[in-house]
Amino acid sequence: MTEPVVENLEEVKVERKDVKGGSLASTFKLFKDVLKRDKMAMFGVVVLIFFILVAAFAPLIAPYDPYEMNRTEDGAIARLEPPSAQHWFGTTNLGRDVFSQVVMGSRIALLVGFLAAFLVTFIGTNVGLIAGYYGGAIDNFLMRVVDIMYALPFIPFVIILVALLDPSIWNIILAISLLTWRTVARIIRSQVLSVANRPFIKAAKVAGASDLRIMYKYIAPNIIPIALLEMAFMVSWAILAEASVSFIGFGDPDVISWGQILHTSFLTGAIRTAWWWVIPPGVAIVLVLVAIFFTARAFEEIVNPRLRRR
Amino acid sequence: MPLLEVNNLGIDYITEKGTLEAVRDVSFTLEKGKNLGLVGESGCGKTTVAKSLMKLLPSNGVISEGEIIFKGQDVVEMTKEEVRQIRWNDISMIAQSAMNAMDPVYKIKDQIIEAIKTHQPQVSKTEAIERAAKLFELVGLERKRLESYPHQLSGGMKQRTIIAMALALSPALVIADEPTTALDVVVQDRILHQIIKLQQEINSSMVFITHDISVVAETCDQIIVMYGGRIAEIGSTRDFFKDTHHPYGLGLQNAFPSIKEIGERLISIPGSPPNLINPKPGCRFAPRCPFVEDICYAEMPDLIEIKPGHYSACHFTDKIDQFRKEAKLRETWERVKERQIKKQLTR
Amino acid sequence: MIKMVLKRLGQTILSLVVVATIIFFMFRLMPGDPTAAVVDPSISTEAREAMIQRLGLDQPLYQQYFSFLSDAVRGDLGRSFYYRRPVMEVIGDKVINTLMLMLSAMLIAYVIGILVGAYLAWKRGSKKEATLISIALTFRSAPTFWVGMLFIMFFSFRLGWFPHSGMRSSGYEAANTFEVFFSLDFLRHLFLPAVVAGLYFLATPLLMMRNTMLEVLGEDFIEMCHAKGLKEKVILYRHAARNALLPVVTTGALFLGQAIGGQVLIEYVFGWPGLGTEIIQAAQRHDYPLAQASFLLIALMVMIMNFLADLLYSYLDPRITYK
Repeated sequence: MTEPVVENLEEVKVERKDVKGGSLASTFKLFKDVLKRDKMAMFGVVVLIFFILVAAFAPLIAPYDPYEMNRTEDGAIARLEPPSAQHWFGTTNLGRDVFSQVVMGSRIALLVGFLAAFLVTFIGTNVGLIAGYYGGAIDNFLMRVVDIMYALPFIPFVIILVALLDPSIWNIILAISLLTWRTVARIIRSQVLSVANRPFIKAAKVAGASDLRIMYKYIAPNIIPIALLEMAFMVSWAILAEASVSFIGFGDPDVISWGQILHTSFLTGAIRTAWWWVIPPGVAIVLVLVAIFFTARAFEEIVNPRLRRR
Repeated sequence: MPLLEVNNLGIDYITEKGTLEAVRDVSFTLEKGKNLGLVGESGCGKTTVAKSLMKLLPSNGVISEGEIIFKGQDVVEMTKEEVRQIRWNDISMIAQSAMNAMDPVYKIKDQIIEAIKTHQPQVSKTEAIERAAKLFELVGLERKRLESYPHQLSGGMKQRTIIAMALALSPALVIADEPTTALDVVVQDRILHQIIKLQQEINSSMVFITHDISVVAETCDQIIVMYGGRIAEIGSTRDFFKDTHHPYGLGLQNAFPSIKEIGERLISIPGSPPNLINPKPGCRFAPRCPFVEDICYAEMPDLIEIKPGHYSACHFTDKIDQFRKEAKLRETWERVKERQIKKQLTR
Repeated sequence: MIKMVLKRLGQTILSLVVVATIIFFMFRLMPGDPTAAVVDPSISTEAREAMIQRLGLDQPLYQQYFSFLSDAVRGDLGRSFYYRRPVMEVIGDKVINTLMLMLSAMLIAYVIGILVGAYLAWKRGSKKEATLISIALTFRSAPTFWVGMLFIMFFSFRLGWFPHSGMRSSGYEAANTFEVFFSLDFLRHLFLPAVVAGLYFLATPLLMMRNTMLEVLGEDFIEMCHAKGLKEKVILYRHAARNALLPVVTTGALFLGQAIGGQVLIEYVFGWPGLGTEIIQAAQRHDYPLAQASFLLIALMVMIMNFLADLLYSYLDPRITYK
């Protein structure tokens, strides 16, 4: 037997208010609300903006040419000088200014991070969209490909690919993108499956809209928040991967990156003495990654209401 | 001395939006071997009352006032450890959803033994298994089912297992929270009778929670109709069904037909139970009551004694004969619906 | 049960073949001289041509592919340019070193993660919870090689407590095989890399355990356990934690793939003679056969781990086998 039939006027009204608009504008408004409430998210956004500004104005901020061999007053090369007023983060074994290197390095980290993440999200979203929308054999095939991608360990794959190609940031971005779209594709696909069953999609089909139109005009706007969220996580993957590859010496030789700074300091054995050469670039990486994580987590709370704190 | 005596019980839930007054001014007594039925729609506080008897409220629930005297001791005042010791040993529970009431990763056997050995550590494992087997026989399950995992049992078997488990320590009081709701109708009746038979065998009392008053009619000596966390009507089952005195009780009876009325469309009570965060003054049922007058919105009615042991919380217990006649008519309740819609629109 | 094992085994072998295929074509289809991936470019032209012929590199690609596969099945993955020995001889015993490090790190991460995670669920919403989670997340975000460098800087060079590199002290000779892995010297070398890798892994079991515990604690059977009058500790560990373990174990297995990726760099920083160090050095030396083989072995290890974890999962959850 069921509960007595209750015609609930109040509930119906509330439900209507709760229907998710899913539009980008309302998502960002919600995001602002979360920022006000969540101190960690606020910290994340502030740090992120800070690093973006540093990267944008790096040449103005860096006090020295990062490759310049600085000399002390008596003309000798300022090798492994600890931090001082002239050199905030000290100098390298060749007398180069660590602070300037770290500032310049922020450019590569953010460039690789955002470009690779964008590429990965673009590929993954489209694959997920196609697999989820068409289903059947297409879906099966694409998901098998994703499964196999999951069997490839990420960092070793990137190392080998970059070693086979010439070291350049483009090849690093390519190597990162080739593998990581698997995660995005899987998540987007499951999201598409749930969206595709909503009444308005069925209505569009009945009305004779083409597949492409349904996929990109009607379904895509509903999955953009999730795609953006995945992109945020991919940014940190990409930054970490770039740092790792550069650390073992496959970085682009023409640009300075944080991984590369650590590569040189590790090879020259600076960790025995020159902590100032080791700690700043690492702290920079950690700060950016943690900032992205907290920002993404706040964003996740909006995209996935189940996670919202009660 | 009665087995259980509840006086002026009040229970709050602390929520983000404010304090929810889940239960207020609930008092009743239960004699040994007798059954009490708690009825009302969901959200009326019946489960909250029942769970408070063994202090099983969720973490944000607090007993804010009153006392629960069980075997001469106030449960409200007991320490955690004291409560733990009376649980299952003295008061056990047949859970609402037998489906998920058992740990999926252990055999049935181990879960029954665990209950026995927690409270009677001197019992050996073989003895405990024997006892479990005997209980299974009583509820009509094969002995080999003891070796099963919960997911291997059907809904009915799970419910029987839960019943067997609840009786494992021959508790003085069994709380049955909608024990048959999840089952299909045919099984429902059989299990209901089984519960009653077993309970009589071990001479325990029972608190029966249900929204289905026909179940109460068959099983309980006494009935409490709850609405909005308060007692609307309390009395012996006979008195209640013969001589209902609260409009809510009349409405509930409409929603469950007796056999001869089958085939007729049921009349339901429009609207839903009130929000108990900062509740409005006056009778909680007023917004849904077809006989509402101005005083109902202003003043909370007291429980009025109709005859010894039978109370109703309505301002107009004297007009009950007229209410009873009108409550049988569909138009009476349609009026309430119209009233509610009008109110929605003007808001 | 046996059917399921066989099915999973079949899937594992299939994906291994696919991965091998991807790797084969990745190395052969690179820009530049395709034979450079197999024949040492530093040797003389005549020797080179003889080698190309001997290895069948003048044959069509598909024939090369099938002989590569059949050689691989027999355990022949070519010769290392750098060591000038068969690849399998070079990395055969590296596998065990990598496993030793990974298992120690996993042990650290899972024991701490599961216990602390269960505790955090119990203490939900406290300051302690927020702090512990932030620490775990910081170690997950930080590049492993950098944390390794910091640990070396501090514990090896500043304090001198642990060796900074390698797996055993030079000149140290183990009396027998047992002592290779269970001597104090080995453990001292193992400690830092295992702790760094363990800290990196920690966030996964910790958060998983906490979240599933929170979910499990809200389930009906937990209330039933309370009603039964069980002691809190019994409910927390025998019932809630036991149920929460299931998803923690499976995600743990899937996570091994990423984990090995992180460990590669830890091995390199600590000079740990494992597959990770080998693959990096091979890549740096353009020793392609060795890099290729190391990659295949790492992938194989990931797959075996996933396979084993699947079996463990069906053992832990009685519902799986009956489906």
